[in-house]
Amino acid sequence: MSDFEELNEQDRALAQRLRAQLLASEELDYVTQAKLASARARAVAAAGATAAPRNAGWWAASGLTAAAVLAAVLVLRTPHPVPATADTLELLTDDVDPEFYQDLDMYQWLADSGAGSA
Amino acid sequence: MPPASTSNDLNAFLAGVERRALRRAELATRDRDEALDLVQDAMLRLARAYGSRPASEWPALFHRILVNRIRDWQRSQKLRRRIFFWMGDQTAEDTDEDPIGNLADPQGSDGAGELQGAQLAARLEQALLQLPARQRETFELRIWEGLSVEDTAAAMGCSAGSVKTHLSRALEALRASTGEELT
Repeated sequence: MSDFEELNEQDRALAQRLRAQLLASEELDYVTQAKLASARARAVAAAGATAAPRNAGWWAASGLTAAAVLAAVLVLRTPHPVPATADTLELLTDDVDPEFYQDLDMYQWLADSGAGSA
Repeated sequence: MPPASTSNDLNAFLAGVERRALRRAELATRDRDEALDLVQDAMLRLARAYGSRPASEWPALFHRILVNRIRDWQRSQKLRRRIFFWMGDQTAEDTDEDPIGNLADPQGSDGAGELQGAQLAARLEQALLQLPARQRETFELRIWEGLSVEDTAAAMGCSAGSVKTHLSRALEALRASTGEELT
């Protein structure tokens, strides 16, 4: 690693002296060491956090599939509404005053009791 | 296929490179807090993007990230100084402080031998600051970090031949600027 084989003898000796000098200057105070340790812990945690979604992705896919199957079952088992008949459509589209249909029960009662003919 | 890397591997790798990375960033920024931010950012980027890659790939990747982050920081600082200059505030141009004065005392002791060692280190760091950026990066990665020529080239995004050329010129300049004390 520090052989510096690509250098000639003179440069290699210089490189090794400079490297030794720089390595000797790497001592850090405790506060800075603590900050570095904290940064390192955050990075290691971040690596774990980015690995987690791979497993979470499988769980999410499984959940979505199960939800889709459940929704299909519920739809198939629910009774479908009866299609509107021609009579119903005629009631909705004719020109009769809507209040007539609201009072239909009263007209029926009048017809049954004969009051309408009185 | 290389074995999958674990959190313990990543922790051990980062613990092994963090001090030197901080010193290099500090040398480039002349500011410990800025240097800490850069190193922390490089650690996070490595962990998020390459944490699951084989540990053998981490050295070149980490130093590539750090080199790029330092270059980005230097570009942003240069742009900031220009903007201040255009706005008529020349204080930013005038605040170039003595880089040696900003460097932390690496020894933290007043022993005569240690003081001499600290002075030598400061002198060497001053000489490094005078190098062109590419030569300094090459020297830091190949000599200080001890990366192989190939990993240095990968970290810098250049060829192995360029690494050798930059390194040869860097050593020549350092020999001339540090005098007999270090050579």
